[in-house]
Amino acid sequence: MAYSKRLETLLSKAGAEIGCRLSVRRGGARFEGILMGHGDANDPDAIVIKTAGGYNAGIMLGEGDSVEVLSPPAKTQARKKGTGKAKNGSPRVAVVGTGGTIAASVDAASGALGPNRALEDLLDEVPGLRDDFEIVAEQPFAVFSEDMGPSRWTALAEAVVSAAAKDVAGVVVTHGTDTMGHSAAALSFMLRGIGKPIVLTGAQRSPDRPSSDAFGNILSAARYCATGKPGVYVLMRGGLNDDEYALFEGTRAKKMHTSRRDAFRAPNVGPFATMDDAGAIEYLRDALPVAKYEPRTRLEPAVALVKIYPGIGPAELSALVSGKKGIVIEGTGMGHVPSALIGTVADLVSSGVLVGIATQCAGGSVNLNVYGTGRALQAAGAIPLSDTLPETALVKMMWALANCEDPAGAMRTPLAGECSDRRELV
Amino acid sequence: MKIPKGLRCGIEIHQQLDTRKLFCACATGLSDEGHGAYRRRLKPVSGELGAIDRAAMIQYKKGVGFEYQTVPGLSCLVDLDEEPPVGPDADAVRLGLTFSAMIGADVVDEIHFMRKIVVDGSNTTGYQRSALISVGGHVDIGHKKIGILTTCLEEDAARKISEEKGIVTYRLDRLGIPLLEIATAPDMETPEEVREAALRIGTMLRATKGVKRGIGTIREDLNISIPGGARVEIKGAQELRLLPAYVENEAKRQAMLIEIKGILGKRGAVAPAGDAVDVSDAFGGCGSKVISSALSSGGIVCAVALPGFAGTLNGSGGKYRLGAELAQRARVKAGVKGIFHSDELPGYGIGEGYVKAVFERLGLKGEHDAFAICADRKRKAEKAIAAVAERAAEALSGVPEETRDPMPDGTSRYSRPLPGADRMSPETDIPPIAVDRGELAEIAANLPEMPEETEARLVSAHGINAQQASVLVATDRHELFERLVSGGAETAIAAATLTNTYSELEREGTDTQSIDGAHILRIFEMLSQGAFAKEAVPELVKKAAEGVDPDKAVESLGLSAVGQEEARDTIAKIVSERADFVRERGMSAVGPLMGPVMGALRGKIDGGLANSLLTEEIKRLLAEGK
Ligand SMILES: [Zn+2]
Repeated sequence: MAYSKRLETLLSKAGAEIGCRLSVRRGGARFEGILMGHGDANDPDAIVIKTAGGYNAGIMLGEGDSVEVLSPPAKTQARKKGTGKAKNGSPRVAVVGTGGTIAASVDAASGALGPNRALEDLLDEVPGLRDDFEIVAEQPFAVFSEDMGPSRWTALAEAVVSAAAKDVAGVVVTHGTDTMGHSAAALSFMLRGIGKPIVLTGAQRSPDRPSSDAFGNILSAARYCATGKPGVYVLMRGGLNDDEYALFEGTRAKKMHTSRRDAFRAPNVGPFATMDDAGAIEYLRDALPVAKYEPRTRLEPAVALVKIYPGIGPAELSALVSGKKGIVIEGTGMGHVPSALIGTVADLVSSGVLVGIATQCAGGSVNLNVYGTGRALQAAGAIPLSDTLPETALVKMMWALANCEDPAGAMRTPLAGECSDRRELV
Repeated sequence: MKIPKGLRCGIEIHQQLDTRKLFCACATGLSDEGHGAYRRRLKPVSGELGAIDRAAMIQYKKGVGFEYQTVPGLSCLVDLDEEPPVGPDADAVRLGLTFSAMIGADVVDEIHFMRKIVVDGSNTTGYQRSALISVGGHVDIGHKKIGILTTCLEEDAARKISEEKGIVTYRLDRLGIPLLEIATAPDMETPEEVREAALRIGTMLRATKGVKRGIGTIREDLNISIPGGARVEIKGAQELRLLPAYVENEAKRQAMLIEIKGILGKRGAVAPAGDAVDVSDAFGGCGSKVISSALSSGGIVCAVALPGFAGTLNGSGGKYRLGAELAQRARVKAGVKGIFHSDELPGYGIGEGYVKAVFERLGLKGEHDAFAICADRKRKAEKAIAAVAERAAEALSGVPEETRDPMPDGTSRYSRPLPGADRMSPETDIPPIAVDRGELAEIAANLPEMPEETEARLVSAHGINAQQASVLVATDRHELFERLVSGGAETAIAAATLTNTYSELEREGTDTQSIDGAHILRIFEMLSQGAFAKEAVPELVKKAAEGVDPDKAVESLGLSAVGQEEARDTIAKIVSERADFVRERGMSAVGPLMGPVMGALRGKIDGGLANSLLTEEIKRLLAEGK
């Protein structure tokens, strides 16, 4: 919200600008402080001042109240740049920044966090990073990850491809955590066979806080790039301690908690590896076999992910998937939909729409053989997607439709570790 | 030494509020037990001026330095910094507004929570959330107005449980308990005024009926300076009665340091060369345990020359005590047990010969020359000596600005240099909170009864004297008093119990704060039912202070169900045992016999009743004789 007309006039008449020291009279009360910016969360009739103790406070100015400028804004000193210099022979690691909480600090307009921290500044602040690694940084865009989507996945993949082509040990991707699982899945299919570690990492606490997980996550991701096995991974905290990290295959990582640092899990399979505070990696299973590297970064955006709920009918489903070339249905339990939808599914399939079935359960696999509804779905031409995460299935279908001669066959085949025909007791 | 003229003090009071936590729905309380140990570290973030705390950065690079214990019900994901804050608690905000109205402060229109960077681990986030509620206002002590600078609402820090091998362990129960922080202007000019102002603010806070009570729920920081001295902050005092002692001792300490500055100036003393000199070889065969054990375990004895400092370290019959300041600095900065300085040597097993040898090794010949030594592992000893040199250099300009820890004996000890301005930035997780002018007006129209109003009401409504009323309010027992009286207790007994009996118990060292009000209510209930005589009340209160249930106490003290008949039997026995005395004195034997009677009945019956029973018995005996 902007200032009210009256307040704007009052401030400009007084010659007040952001950073100047003001004396404010509100009725019989007097306040003194530095004029701060005014954002959406502030009342249009209030100014925000920083008082002597460093406290900000909003003061409403009404008729008869006044401001007087005591001194002009102080000159601010430019922030010192990072000084660390990597030792000769230190591993070279590329960092591709995309925004997210890991790049967040206060946004003047909203007063809340925005993804506005420049990548180089962020990397300067990671203790030890520039001492131990030679960093090549690139920031194709900066958004919160709810604003990611097929075109940005493609742009990200292309940035990673070009970064990986430089003489680097691996590529760290800093990313918002909300949809980091989707992006990791997209890179997993697009960059199959890439012979280097590609590690996506984010933060649940922004780096303007001493307790931020950003610094440890970036440093650990760089360490994994230097010594870890190739493939696309997500790295975050492995628990509530600051000295445990976990890595997950890009197709398996899911954000399971809104705020905890260890928000990511891999349903059905668990972490791929853990890492300690010193960078020691413990692998918990084999890495995927390395395929031939042929980056294919195109995606078909006309794919929908539909969550089944009790009461959803043919009209609702049809409205949600109109114009799509593929849909992933997040079915109930082992992959079911209300029986009333079987006909709609059959119609979609026969009109050439690719229909895949995933589950909305937090664990376990789709199985369309056990119940009648499941068999009817198979008969209607829907493809069971085993234990592929719904979000991974969505991205895979976008990729399969754009890159494969037989998208349906591709959906039935594990391509990047996204599904398995056995589940261990984890 | 007299208290120097021109003393100026300000206080900052931190009062816990009796609400839920400020930014989560946890209950507030402390637990004797903590669970788990979540390992964390905190990275110093660059402030607005770009300065980074070097020591904190070294700690960060070392690895996790903090462990946090959780307590079910009293800590949650917010406290562990695993979830954003929710709030602030509306009751806590209202208490802030209420207190602001009570002192006549100017309340801001939008409350902005800020982050005050604290990377010692006491906050899991690495900052304390704090907001300015109001500026200005005042409190009255006697005829003097003490100005209030600011009233803030903030969150309490986690409790430090232990520190071992570089890991500091905290418990999360206290973290997030709302605190009102009230900072006064430096308007207090005597130690007693400081106590009065703290008492007044504390009493007003309790008048809101929304604050926690008991040890540790209110803490004071004192800012003290005298002319020619410097601002020194004594942080975290918890006992009101010690405040004047802290102020007085600090004022005297500053006066002493100013005198020492004068002495050093006259002698032309200069800052000691910081380099520590290894004088181990001068101590072969030394009988001092500290020295011989340091040397035998591979350590060294390290010295610094303090030319011109003789007599200031410990001189004029203990008047000058710069040596203690040097030792405190060495302890805090290097973690050594202590140092020796030449004003206290020979002594501590260090003979004259060794002292001479050190003077010689340091090339000191002047009559005012002094030195300090430290025996420990090489690095530690050198660090200690550097700290001594640093502190000695500061003595040349008088009083260094510093933060000190309050000690239970009324003195204080060096803890760290005075921190610079707080590093504050907006707390982005909490939108600004608009203060509703209507709510403010409603609060102002319904202000809690001020302490003096309560006192006046107690006097007029219950007929107790002003002195008792003032004690009841100051000690925060007026609510209990009014409950006793409305429950049918005799006003005079209730007032005497809560004033005289309690202060007697306190003199005996009993913690009266721990007395359960419900126990007192029960004692008076039984009294009004005639279960025992009023003389038994003090003893029962004493038992209640020991945590004994009044019903049980009545039984164990033999107060229960003593009828008049039993008392009459006891008295008859006493009278017949002293029959000759009674016959000799006649009715005037009543007075002398009351003592043995009350002793035997031990409060089982009222004094008046005992007197009439005794009179009857004596009459009977005298009649028999005729
Ligand atoms: Zn909590």
